[in-house]
Amino acid sequence: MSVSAFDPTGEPWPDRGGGNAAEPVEVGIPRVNYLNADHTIKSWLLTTDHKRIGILYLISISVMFLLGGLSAAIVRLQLTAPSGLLLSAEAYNKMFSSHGIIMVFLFLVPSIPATLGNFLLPLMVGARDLAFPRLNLMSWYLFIAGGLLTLGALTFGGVETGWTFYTPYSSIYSNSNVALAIVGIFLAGFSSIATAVNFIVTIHKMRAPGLTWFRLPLFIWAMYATSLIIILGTPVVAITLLLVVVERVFHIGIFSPELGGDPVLFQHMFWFYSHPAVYIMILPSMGIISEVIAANSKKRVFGYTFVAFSSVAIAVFGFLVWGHHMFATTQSMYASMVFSVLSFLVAIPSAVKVFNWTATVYKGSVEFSATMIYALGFLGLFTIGGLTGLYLASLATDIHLTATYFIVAHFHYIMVGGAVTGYLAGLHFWWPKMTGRLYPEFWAKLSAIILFVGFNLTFFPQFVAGYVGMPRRYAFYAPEYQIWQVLSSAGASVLAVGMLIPVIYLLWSLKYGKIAGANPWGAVGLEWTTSSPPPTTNFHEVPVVTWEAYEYHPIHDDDKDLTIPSPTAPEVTAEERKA
Amino acid sequence: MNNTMAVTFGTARNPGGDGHGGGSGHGKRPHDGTFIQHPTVGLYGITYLALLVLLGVTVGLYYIDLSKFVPWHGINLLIAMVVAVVKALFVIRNFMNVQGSTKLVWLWAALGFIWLVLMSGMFLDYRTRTNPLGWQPERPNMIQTGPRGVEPHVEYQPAPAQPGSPATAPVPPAAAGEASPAH
Amino acid sequence: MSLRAVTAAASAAATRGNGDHHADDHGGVMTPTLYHQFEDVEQQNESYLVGMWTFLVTEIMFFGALFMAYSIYRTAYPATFLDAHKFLSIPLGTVNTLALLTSSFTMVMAVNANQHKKKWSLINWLGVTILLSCVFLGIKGIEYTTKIHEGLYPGSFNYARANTMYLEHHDGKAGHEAKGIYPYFPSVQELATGYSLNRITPEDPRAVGVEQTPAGPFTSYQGAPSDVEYWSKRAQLFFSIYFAMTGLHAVHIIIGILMMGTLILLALKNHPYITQDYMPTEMIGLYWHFVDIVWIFLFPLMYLIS
Repeated sequence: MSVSAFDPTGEPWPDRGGGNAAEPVEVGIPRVNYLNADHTIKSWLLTTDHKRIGILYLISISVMFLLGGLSAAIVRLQLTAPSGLLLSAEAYNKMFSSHGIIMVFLFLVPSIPATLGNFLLPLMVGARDLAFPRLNLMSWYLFIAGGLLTLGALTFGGVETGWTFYTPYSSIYSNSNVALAIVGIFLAGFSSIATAVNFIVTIHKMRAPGLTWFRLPLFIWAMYATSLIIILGTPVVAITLLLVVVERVFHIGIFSPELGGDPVLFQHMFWFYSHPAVYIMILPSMGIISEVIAANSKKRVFGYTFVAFSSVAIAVFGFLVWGHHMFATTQSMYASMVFSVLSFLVAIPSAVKVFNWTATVYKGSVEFSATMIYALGFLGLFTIGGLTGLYLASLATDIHLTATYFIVAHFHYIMVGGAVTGYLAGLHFWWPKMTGRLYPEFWAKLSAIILFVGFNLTFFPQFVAGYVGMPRRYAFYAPEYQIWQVLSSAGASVLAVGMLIPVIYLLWSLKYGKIAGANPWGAVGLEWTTSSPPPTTNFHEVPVVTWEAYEYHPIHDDDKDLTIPSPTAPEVTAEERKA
Repeated sequence: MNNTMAVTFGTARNPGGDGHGGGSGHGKRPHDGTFIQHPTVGLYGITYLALLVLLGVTVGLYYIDLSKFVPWHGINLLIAMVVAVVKALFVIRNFMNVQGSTKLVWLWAALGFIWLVLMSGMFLDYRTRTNPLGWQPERPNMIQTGPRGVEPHVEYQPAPAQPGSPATAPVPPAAAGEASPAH
Repeated sequence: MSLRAVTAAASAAATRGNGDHHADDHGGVMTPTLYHQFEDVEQQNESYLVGMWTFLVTEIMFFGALFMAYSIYRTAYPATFLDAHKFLSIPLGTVNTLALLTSSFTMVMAVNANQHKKKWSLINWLGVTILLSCVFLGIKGIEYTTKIHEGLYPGSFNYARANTMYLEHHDGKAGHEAKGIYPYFPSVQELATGYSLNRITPEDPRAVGVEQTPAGPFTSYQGAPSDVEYWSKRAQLFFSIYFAMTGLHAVHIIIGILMMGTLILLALKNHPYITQDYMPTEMIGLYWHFVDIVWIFLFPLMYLIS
């Protein structure tokens, strides 16, 4: 029978590396894995197993995404008519602030590191768990506490300042639940710091024997760079937001112009974190894309070293460009010029990655699976988002485009077209590993295409709207912009469908999906050498890594069949395979 | 490059760093790449005394006006900061045992302070501004002047209307519901 | 026993587990619990160290942002910072610094005692550290209540009253600022064009009754503060920063005291966290030294402005 890598009905790979001779990796779902090791609620809520914590995060993050998406839906509904359909201006302000706060602080920043990162990092480096498992659990509880506080603040009263909390409105004049929302965000920030500390120590200290830095999967490099940014940037926004709270509660004013303070100082300190924050959101996604493209092209990522170093370069350079959010403030012209030049430079490492991924696909053995559709979509959408960022980095055009819908479209192309697409790709790619089940490929491909179409329908009109002058954060607008807003809202309904279908079939697959086996994609990586789902201690014995990253074997032309790609699976000859 | 990284970051199973704990005051222990060495009590005591002396210097500096010797009033601040940095280095090196730890710890300690310097990029903005900071109550009619001298403050007067120019043409009625211009 | 022997024996004798094994005391050798994710005690100890330092890096950035805000305002308003700091008591600040430096020393002695398995020595040194930190907090409390009493608390700011009280205490002498000469940090444009909006040269009519010394671009003149409203607002800014920074620092001290108290309790109960492992104490020691370093920078910047 055919043992094609992409035919899930074929025999699963024989055991290599993930088990020992006495206990081979079982056909089908292993009897004892991390999911069924203990069934009590207490075992889940007090778990220190990084895989379970990853699943806990997955559930919480999905809830956050749903809530953020609901506020987006209401925003989109409101904007279908110039005089507004549903909300007063004040309520609209609360709605888009809600959307922004939930999506940025409670979804995008933790999503990939806390769900896929937590789950995969020890598996990919060959460790039994992260360095500090109890800290990991605490980070989830901090996230839940912070998330609940923030959601409570947003639901009961709301916040009108926008997710950027600009002073002095947020610190002096606003009458909404700013302080409570900020305390929630503060806790969520510490949750991400705890995760980042864990990741850094694990990657430095707990790699398996033989796993040198340049044999690491690029996802790990991306996690490392992301953790660096979190460590160095999050405390700054924590203290900045804390100062806003302190000003509201104790009247200790540092940003108040009446005292001689500078509201733009708040913006400096806020964007010192929030610009690197957008790299926190995109870098893990880039790591996923590296993995998905390599596995779907059966080829080593082109220019591995360049891609690895570009992750760290993005992390470092991302800290040098925060002033480009403040070109239209009283920031001095000379500083703006410097930030403009640096913003152009920071695009280079991202471009390096895109070129390398494209080169990886070239002459690879490409399979257009659902994950590959997401990954290719990422390539296109992220490129558009990144290129439009260059219009915004140039001072003259930015004066025209800033605070318009152009900016909204730009960052949504990167955040949704980039980060969320990558997240979905990763979720699908590692779904068999996490659950032991395969999702229905047809529906996955269909929803990937629907998502791509819906996304472009939603956000491309916003580029035009911004260019012709519609400002952002407006509840009511001039009628000449209506055509673009209606197109955008229509696209949003398609986008919502594209987001909802995966929820349905992924949940369906938990019970009815095909059994996946250890390595359904035929990918190379330590995580694929253990069973799906993995046992609680990840590996039965400490793996020893002797192969390079992405060591896919070349395709043999003579038999027109896909070669077994994983170095951990036996080399099967053509005759054996046809048997 | 791989080698340097291996030494600094450690290859797997051989966490790197050459544990150079051979500085003065450390006990005689074999130099092992993986061992964390700790200073002796004597070193702690000397460091503490040094810190006390430096504290005396800091406070004394307050009462001595160094600007008599150097034509810059900020010199006191500069020297005080240098002294503070020296004190911090003493604490980091000896009390926090960065000296005896692996290279990675040393790198992390340095990175934190270096990143702080990055934040001073804010000065790039504040030191090149032409407008003063904050509300200045003692100059309510402040006029921004330049090197050419004081420009007279003139109230805006629209140009006198010419017949046939667009300014005097009848203005079409504004579209209903038109929002005010963006700000 | 030498420390190396302690750790080497620990690696050999360590028990794996999730913290529920209490290994025997092998005659002076520490056998810390080896958690299941680590291969040996050395890896575990180094991981703890790297982890703690990573956390300290976040703390550096946390306080660093406040220091950055302080520097921006100080270079923008050197005159009012020089004036406003006179309300802070330098003797109390010096005592506080002494207390913290000594507590740093006693903390490191406590870690040393733990490494050599001297339980009572450890408890004593930790107790002294807590005592010194309470002295610090007590003096801080006195300073804060004085400020509130004088009317310098940002919620109820009354510069005029505080100024009057100060002059009464100091027999009408106002200290540095009486000379009316202030340091000035010119911007790049001011240096290049020679023109400044804020700097007051000796010819300026506002520089009245001031000792005339040769002026450079880094000196500004100002008569005695007569515009109370102006100085009041700026002084309120100074005190906002003062309360924010020292308040945050005090919160960290309180957290440190709680952690050291926990260590003492664990030591009294002969918990293996203390008896079989010196890493928890060392990590809390690292945190404490960091808190001390913050104060080392805070003291000259807030109190010793000259």
